[in-house]
Amino acid sequence: MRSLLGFELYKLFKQKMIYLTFIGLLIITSSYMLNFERPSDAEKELYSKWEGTLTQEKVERSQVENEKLNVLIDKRVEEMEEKGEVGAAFSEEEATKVGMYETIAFIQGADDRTALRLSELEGEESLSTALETSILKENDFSYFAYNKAPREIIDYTSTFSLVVTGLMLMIGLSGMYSREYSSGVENYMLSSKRGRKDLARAKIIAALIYTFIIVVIGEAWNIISKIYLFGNEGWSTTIQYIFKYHFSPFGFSMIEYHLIQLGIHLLAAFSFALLILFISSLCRNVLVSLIVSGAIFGVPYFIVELVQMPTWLREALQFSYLYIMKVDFLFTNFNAINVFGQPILYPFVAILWMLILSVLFAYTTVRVMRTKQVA
Amino acid sequence: MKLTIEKVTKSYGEKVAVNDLSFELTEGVYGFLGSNGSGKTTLMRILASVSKPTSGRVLFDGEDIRTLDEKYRDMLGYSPQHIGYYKNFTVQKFMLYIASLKGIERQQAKQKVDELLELVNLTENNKVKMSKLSGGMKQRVGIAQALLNDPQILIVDEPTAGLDPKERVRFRNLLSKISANRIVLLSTHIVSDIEFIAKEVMILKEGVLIQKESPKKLLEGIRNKVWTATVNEEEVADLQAHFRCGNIAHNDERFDIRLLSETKPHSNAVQTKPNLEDLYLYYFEEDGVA
Repeated sequence: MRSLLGFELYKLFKQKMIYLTFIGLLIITSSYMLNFERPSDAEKELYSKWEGTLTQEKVERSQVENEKLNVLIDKRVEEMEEKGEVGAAFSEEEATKVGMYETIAFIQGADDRTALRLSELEGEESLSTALETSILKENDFSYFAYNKAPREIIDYTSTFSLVVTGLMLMIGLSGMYSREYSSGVENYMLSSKRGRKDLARAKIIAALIYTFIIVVIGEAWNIISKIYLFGNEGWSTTIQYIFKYHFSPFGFSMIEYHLIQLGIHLLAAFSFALLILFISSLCRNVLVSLIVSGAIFGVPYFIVELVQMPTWLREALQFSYLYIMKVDFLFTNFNAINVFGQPILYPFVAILWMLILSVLFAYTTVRVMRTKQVA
Repeated sequence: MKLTIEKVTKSYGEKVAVNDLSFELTEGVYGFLGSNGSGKTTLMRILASVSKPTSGRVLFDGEDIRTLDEKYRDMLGYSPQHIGYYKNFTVQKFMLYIASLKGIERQQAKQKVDELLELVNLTENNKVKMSKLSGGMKQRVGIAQALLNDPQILIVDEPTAGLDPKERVRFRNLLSKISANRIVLLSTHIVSDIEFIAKEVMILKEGVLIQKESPKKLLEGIRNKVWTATVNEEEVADLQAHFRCGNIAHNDERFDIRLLSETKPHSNAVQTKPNLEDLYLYYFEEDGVA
């Protein structure tokens, strides 16, 4: 078995195409970073003065200072208009300050909304309400820090990572069986002792190892590039600092959320890898295998984004590979599915769904290969 | 050791590739003779367990090969008609990969690969990429890989296709050397491949087994039907139109022609000893006669 696995990994990693594609994808999906500037020491210094728990006193002080600064800027703008001058009405330091005060107000808004939501839920007695209440009660958004790096890392994972992972899996794995068929090697496989069940298992493990390596390298690139640009601060701030998660009931810190996000992304990638392998076991042509896998990956996205449909259908379609690999929709709002009266949160539904599909496709691939015949 | 083929039929939609075949095989070399599309490859695939019969079954020592599953495949060596390979694998790596598919331990596999590459005279090419090999060399790799697990049943489908005459002789000698204590099934449409090594020749036509006999007995069946004659050019055309003709050789201004006929086909025709090529002609060129 180890020997078969070794050969499968050798065949996988011997494909020059995967290296070219991987490097190309990482460069293309990171090209937006060229627009970024590294934060100055002065900017970080400003943040560090406010870093820590946002007490009531701090929040009020930030409001006062923000108002003062706005008045000052407004006055300056008026003076410039009177003199007919053109240019920036505020310095870089002032711009950073405004941004910082607004962020504090922004996160304060999340805190207020949580309190409001908790009071709304007080009268209700369903299991779902109890679950939401218990989640909201855990929330504490009060830690403030400069957090550009974790924000960008989380954003990349839910946008570009899925493109990189999805394409790399399709390109690397679509030929795992199809290439055996088209090259005629299937005759040796199917007529040999270990060429059916054991080989299928070896291919499954090789596909999972390949997937793991792709996700880990993608993650390493994501982390290293962002930390190089923005530093390593802010992992303890909550995800509500990111606009997309502002309404999220989950009070995860950036590091907690990113690990969860990465875990679900990896699980969905594993499951997608097993689907590709299964499709490859049915297709004699690598291109057909690639197209079918690509359609299963991408079509639900276009349907959801472009077609008008009932909410239940839209949400059902979101439990497809691309969206689960994207992860974010599982955490942006409180969503649960009622199973025999018990509310199950979307993230758990997604994890369970991916596990079921993984087992199903792995099992079916082995079954297919046990009874496979040459065409 | 006995391989029993029991009422085996294989259909692809409307087309019946193999039709209700039943026969038994024991140790020795069996030559499957048939024209293209006669069902040889389909039958070979069924026996190699890479294809399943639509109906009927194959038994090894009384047990269905589907039930034996891995145990049957462990006894099997199969060299398909078209030698599949990975372009970037060297000969040695390819052999080691097949050894791995056959469940042979790494150390033992290395030793076995060296032995077999020597047997097929490819030791010096073991580091050459499969894609760089000539057709004959690939066929030899095909044979070598089939022998890796020292199989009790060896199935070789059209092994000499694409080989030059020297390589064909070498292959026949090789097969003769390794055929002891095994069931060797050899499919071909080149009769000289099996003429001297086959215990029995099985003639397949349109999916039906029409003969299964030793070469000697088969040749007895066409004794008195093979003739040679020396004729002029016009007579060649006339004989070709009315009889199944074999070799035609130019002899000064005239032609030596070999042909099959129940009666004397020409005034100067003389009977000659039949060979398997005549037999092939007898069974497969019938439709060609006007």
